[in-house]
Amino acid sequence: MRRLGRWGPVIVVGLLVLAIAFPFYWAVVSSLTPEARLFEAPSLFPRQLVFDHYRALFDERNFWIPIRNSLIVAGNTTAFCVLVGSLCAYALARLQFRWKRPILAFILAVTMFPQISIVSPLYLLLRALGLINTYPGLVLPYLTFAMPLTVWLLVSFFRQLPAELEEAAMADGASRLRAFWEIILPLSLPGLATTAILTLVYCWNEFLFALSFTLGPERQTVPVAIALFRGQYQVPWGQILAAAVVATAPVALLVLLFQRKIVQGLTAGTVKG
Amino acid sequence: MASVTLENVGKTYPNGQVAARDMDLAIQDGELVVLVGPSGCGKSTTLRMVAGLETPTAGRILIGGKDVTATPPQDRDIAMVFQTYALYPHKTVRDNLAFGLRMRRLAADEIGRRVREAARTLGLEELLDRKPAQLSGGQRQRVALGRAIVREPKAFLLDEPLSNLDAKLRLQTRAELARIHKQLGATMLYVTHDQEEAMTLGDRVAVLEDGRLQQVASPAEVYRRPANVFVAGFIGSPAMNLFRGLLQTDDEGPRFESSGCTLTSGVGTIPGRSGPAILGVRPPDIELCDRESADLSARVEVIELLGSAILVHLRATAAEEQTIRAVGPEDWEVAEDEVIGVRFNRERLHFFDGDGGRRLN
Ligand SMILES: Nc1ncnc2c1ncn2[C@@H]1O[C@H](COP(=O)(O)OP(=O)(O)OP(=O)(O)O)[C@@H](O)[C@H]1O
Ligand SMILES: [Mg+2]
Repeated sequence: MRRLGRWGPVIVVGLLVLAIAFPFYWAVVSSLTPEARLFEAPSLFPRQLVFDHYRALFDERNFWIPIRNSLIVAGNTTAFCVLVGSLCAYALARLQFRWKRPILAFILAVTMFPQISIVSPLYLLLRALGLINTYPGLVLPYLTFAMPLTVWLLVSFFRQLPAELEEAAMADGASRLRAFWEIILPLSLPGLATTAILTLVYCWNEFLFALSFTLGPERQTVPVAIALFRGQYQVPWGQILAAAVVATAPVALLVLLFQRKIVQGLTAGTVKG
Repeated sequence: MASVTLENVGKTYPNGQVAARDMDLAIQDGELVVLVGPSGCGKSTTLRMVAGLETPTAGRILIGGKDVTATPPQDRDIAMVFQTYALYPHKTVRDNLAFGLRMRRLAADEIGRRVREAARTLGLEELLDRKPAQLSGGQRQRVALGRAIVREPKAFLLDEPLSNLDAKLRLQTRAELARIHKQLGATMLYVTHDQEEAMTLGDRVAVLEDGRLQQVASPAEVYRRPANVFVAGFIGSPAMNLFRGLLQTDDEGPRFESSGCTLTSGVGTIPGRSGPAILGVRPPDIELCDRESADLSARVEVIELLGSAILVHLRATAAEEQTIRAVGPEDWEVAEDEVIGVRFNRERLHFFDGDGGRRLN
């Protein structure tokens, strides 16, 4: 019994890690297996590593282009969200004005529409603005869901910082904006990092808007490009998996790099004056 | 430095809580006024209104004769020490001290000079490169003070700046504050709920209860001539003894009667007063005497040693509910359970109106 007590958690965590990590591992292994061997009896360990799929991805399919597009769209959306969203969240968290609660509720309500239901109106809107198949044509719709997320996360984060810190800064002669910039923002870095990564991942993986508002490969993002790999008669599984690995790796890397900050951000509230 | 004036200032919080009522207070240039009162009476609110962190719902606030009621905090040129320190956690002690000077765009070498000077005054030189989290409570307190004294503001606002220090450090820092006040000729509004601090530090003491100023006067005046029953009971430790009774004036002059005691002689002149009244006697103004000439006979309940003096808890023999505190020299001849006679020092009697509590004599 005591044995079980000690090893129980380890086993549970181990199984969880296995369940989560295995698909990714399998994708990596398969992406390194020659096309012809993909449908043979599967093997847990690659017998031979070939980079054919990756070569094809970048040489034939110009996979750099969707990666570039995704970086530009997700990066800009995130940067814009954090910049504007943090100011907005700060106002909602700290300033006194009328209709604060309704505004917060409204911001949340905006995200409640199923994406599919606003694709057509958004399409018409973007077409009228001449933004179909452009970067702004993706960044703007992405803001509709990324911005509320940012604002909500940051509002709760800012609320946890003691108000006396900015009051002290203002008594010291700083304007509210200066106090925000010099005191609140540096103390909110964990929260900002968390928010930025969540937003980035969300935008990186977004499919429906990207598919609907782009016309050709020169503006398509990674998920759209991968979806369009499949030809009329065959599905290039090897390349798809290679693309999936290429698309996931940077995000996973980012999360690992900022892991400590994110955990801090999610467990914030322990900032002491 | 500059004067600070509150004119009919009132504050009602949005939830209906009234924290300040019709407050009038004029702090002279270079004066240290201590704001005292029980918890929740509105001391912090008053300070925050002077700082500009809270907007008064009535009246005006003037700094240096200029109306600043609508001026944001950063333009009021005041320095505030927060009860919770509110140090910037991500900045070193040096940067904490320099922040206010940077905001006022002082030259870098001037900032360096002033920071060093303040650090020397407060004994922080060794700590300049640490972050607040790496400091002890007392050290943080001194940094919070330092952040105020590096500036040369129009006024200092200090919200219970010594409340988190141990007894020794508190005395030490209190003396340091008094010295800074004299040296800089600084205008200071100092909040505390510790009345001893108020008595020792203040040029004047402002006693606050329930958002209303009860008395603003020198510490000696507040102690010797409290303006009403509340001030009488709040200032002084151990607290003043209060006897509820009846004041009557007949041919033989005024006399005071209560269930615990009766005073016929030396009540003094209380012009044309009779009716319910409250008699106040401070514990050190009570003397032992034989039982024939006593104002009051009482049983000794507990004797506490206060160091060089003793505090005696008495219960009046004529009225069981009346307790009395008396302070006397160490060699006072009293023993627990003994019944003794006591006299009140006629020079130091305080009479208050039985209804409003206003001072009568
Ligand atoms: N933001 C606020 N909203 C509503 N009521 C408040 C607010 N801040 C303070 N109060 C109330 O106003 C009254 C005065 O509060 P204040 O903080 O000024 O008291 P204080 O004299 O500083 O007390 P303490 O000695 O405990 O610090 C209290 O009853 C308090 O509950
Ligand atoms: Mg307070």
